[in-house]
Amino acid sequence: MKLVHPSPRQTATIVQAMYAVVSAAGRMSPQPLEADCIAAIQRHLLRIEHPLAGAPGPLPGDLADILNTPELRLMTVRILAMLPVIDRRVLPEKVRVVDEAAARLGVEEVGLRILRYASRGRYRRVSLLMAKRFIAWWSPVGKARLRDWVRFMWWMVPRLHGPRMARMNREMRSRFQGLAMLPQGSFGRTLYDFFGEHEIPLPGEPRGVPWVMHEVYHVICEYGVSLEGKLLLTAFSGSSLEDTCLDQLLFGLLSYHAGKQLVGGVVSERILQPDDYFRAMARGAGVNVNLAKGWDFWDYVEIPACELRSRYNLPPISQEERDSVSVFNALLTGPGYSTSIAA
Amino acid sequence: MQDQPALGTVEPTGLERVRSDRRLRRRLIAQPKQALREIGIVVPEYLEVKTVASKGSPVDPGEATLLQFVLTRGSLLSYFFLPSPQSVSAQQAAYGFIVSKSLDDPDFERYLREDVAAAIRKVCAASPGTAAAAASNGEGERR
Repeated sequence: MKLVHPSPRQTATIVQAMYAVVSAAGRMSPQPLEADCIAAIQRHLLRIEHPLAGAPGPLPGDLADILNTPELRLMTVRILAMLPVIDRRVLPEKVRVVDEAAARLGVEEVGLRILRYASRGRYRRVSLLMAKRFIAWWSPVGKARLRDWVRFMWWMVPRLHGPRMARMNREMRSRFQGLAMLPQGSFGRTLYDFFGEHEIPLPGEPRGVPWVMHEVYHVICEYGVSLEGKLLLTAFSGSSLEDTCLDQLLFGLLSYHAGKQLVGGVVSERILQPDDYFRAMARGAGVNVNLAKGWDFWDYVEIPACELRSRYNLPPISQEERDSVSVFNALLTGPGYSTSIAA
Repeated sequence: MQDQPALGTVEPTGLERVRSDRRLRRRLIAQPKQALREIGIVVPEYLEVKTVASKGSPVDPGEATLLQFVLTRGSLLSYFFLPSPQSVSAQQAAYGFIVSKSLDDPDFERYLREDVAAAIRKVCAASPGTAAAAASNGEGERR
């Protein structure tokens, strides 16, 4: 998600648009958490030192005139799309304001379909749509055909594999086990240790999946596996991507903040801390590489993890963030991370 | 009649019942304030408690392996978790790491006690001298 630094007038327009969403065009009062989120968005995503106040009301009449570039429009719509989830109800009245803004700005974002399904309580459709988009991304032809669904499911379940694939799995497991020989602090060793410390089966192991991208993101962004860490991970990964930006952001907010069950795993409610969340988004948006496309982590396993983050325009965790996030055990610590274990 | 713990008590006892007693688990979800009292966690009456139940991992066996208890008092909010010792995923979701694989490990009680105390302290911070003082034991300050 490309962040655009808006002019003061554009900022005021975006702020008013955000208040239009959380107030359902002036029909309800914004909740304190929503106001806090709007302020945090201004601080971290719009880079405004002193956030502007706003008031309940409709979308600005000159929205499309003031927000006059495609990048600014897309960023604005994505920001607006997160807001109906903040009160955990995903009210259709609020989603309609997002849809209206997107229409006026001429922005077509597939992620808005996720939001619409959620506003109707159709969470199975949300899950299906997210899975379909993921498999389309994974498919060699960029579409989720029936054969791609079947192939993906088969690929992800090693127990279904035959002798030839079992041999390849053994080779893959062996290759991953070799990461243990790398120096402490190297990216590969840090990733290997992450698997071990959290008892995640390595790719190629019987219960493992041949897939490390999720774990790579944990190691790169330094957010851990507590629920608060998982939410920050989705903020980071969503904002670091373009194609599936809202998929990631909405998955995290719906699952970990709104308590909506999407994939049968863990959910929670009301764990969103606005400054932590939008700071994580800003970190992700700053990343200068697409880890999910054409990036092979084997090319980087010997590089120190901290150096790799630096190459990707990802500075060490700031003391401000460390102080705030550490209370939730949401940071990974130790060799390969910018936070020592003692902290 | 079973002795009832005093208001503000945060001394979890008999946590093994949470694993073995399905009815208790259901009460922890449906009537959390009363059910928590049965395992030694007394939430002040003026707090609202809601339980969010889920599995730490989709492949966790059985029912919910992670319970989140959300405490509210007006606009004040905090929460604590009760993960199943049988689910490493639930433990990690709750605490960020694996506490133990031993079902009888006293660390489960310790972490729960610290988590509950911090949660009650946070949501009661606006009224010192009440439950905040009762819950305050100088331990963890996670939430």
